[in-house]
Amino acid sequence: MAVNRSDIIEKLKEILVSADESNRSKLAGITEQSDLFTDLGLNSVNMLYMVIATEEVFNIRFDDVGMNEFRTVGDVASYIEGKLK
Amino acid sequence: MEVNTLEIYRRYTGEETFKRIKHYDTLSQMWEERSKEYAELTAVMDNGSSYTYAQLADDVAKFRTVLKNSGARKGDTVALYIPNSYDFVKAFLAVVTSGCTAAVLPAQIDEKAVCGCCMMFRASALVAAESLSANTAAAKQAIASLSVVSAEETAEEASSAVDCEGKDGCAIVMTGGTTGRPKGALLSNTAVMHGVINSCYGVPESFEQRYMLVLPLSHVFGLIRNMLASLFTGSTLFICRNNKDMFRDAAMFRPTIMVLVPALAEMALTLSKKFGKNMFGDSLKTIICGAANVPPYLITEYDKMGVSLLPGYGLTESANLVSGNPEPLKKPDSVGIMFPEQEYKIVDGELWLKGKNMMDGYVAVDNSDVYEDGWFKTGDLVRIDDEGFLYITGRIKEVIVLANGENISPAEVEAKFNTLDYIQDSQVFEDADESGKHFLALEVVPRATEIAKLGEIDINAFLKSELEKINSKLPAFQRVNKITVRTSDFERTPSMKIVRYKKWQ
Repeated sequence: MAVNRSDIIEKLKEILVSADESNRSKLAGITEQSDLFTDLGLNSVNMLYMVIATEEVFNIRFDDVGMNEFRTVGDVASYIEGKLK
Repeated sequence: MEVNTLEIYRRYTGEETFKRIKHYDTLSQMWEERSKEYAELTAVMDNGSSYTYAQLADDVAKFRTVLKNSGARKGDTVALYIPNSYDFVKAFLAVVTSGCTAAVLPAQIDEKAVCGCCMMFRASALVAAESLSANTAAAKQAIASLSVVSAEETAEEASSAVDCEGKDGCAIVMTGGTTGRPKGALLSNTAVMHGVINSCYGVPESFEQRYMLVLPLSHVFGLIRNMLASLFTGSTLFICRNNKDMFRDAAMFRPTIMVLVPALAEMALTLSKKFGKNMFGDSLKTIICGAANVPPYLITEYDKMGVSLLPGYGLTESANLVSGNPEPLKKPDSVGIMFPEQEYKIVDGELWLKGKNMMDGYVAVDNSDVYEDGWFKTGDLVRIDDEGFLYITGRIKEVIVLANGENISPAEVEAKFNTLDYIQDSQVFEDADESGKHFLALEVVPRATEIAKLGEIDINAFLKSELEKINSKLPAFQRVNKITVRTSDFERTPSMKIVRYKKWQ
């Protein structure tokens, strides 16, 4: 599955909005540097949602890494990118 | 008063299932009998392996030998520090059928807390998973008499179960309790068995089910309503080790019943809508939902998917369930009818409880402020309707006393705003303006799936106007003076409850 980084970010934004609708208002401002916790206010259930939805959408599987290792939107995008290679 | 709701529950449970709900005095008796009755059925599936009831009984008997060799004797407390796994199930059953009390420690606590709990509960042995063994060092060093045992250990020889009585200790479960600091609630065998039996009332499809476990076994909801209810009913317990795999596991295991907190039920619902399928699979018939306020929206939305979501009310101190709602579509905002033999009274709006399911107190702390005349004061404000359905209207500690002397229970007011499908959560609190004048304020978190249906409109204005319609119908003293639509979720506790705040402080 060849997907470029900007496609990954766009799909990820869509997932982040469906995980927490309040992120819709921040959609335009979401960048690779956006912090999942402090900027987007994700809690543990939203985080779980993001991982599960990402696995479904990109047809990948997250390893049993601690989800806390992801800090920013860019961290997650890089992880997805690595999995799609 | 003691309510006799047995006949009501007979009707809701169905005669076939009702007949199979047998009472036992102790977990030992239950396990000895049920493990033989269900011998060939699959008891547990974990980490790629399946274990029949006979295999589990065999492993439990051998682990009793391990415990005996460690020096644990009838009446002792044995701490379990094991994440959700087959080893937890085996070790828990071995401890309680050895006549000991199992102190179940949450797997996420650190070395210092493990040591503190072993001291507080006077544990004679600590059974730990290999993956957590590094955190047992401090306890080992500080308590000379403590034996530390690996949960993976086994023995050649089996040991018989030890006779004990209903009044003997069975489990110590950690709770935040009604008064702040974490403590351990001591539950007798009678209390735990009542908790298990209550699990079956009002659920026609209780026996030989497929249960998937996603909640921690260190919590009564996971331990009693999920694990022990599964073993009591000859069901199969599938242990999901990592919640991120729950839907992949569900596709393979096809659970018929799930025990969930509302936040997980809502997440699963949102994902099911996003991907156009029931993420738990089409075999799912029942969701038991509790440990936090259950929004009526979840009940109606799951019903559309053919799943019956049953809310209930319970406490660690009551060995889990006190009431369950067998008619959630009729009364979606109720936590249901008191289970048989539950004694209760309502004092100044607060629910007080007595009965066979109640704890024998918190271990090693002063219990005087939680009991009065033998009644356990729950701290929950409730009302009961003409048909015996219970409603939680708030927590005593959360009551806001306004300057005019009016008492406001935030949960009661929030429940009114939460009837809007667009609202996922809300918080009513006391705020103050620049002049220091206090007033009631409301903050809401919108629900993603419903907001998405609205299209390109001003969400903020729309929600405020919808909320204002409800506000205007409230009794004057309950009306909020300021409404804010949040752009992020509330801060939450580890169990996903909202952290309440007082803005004016």
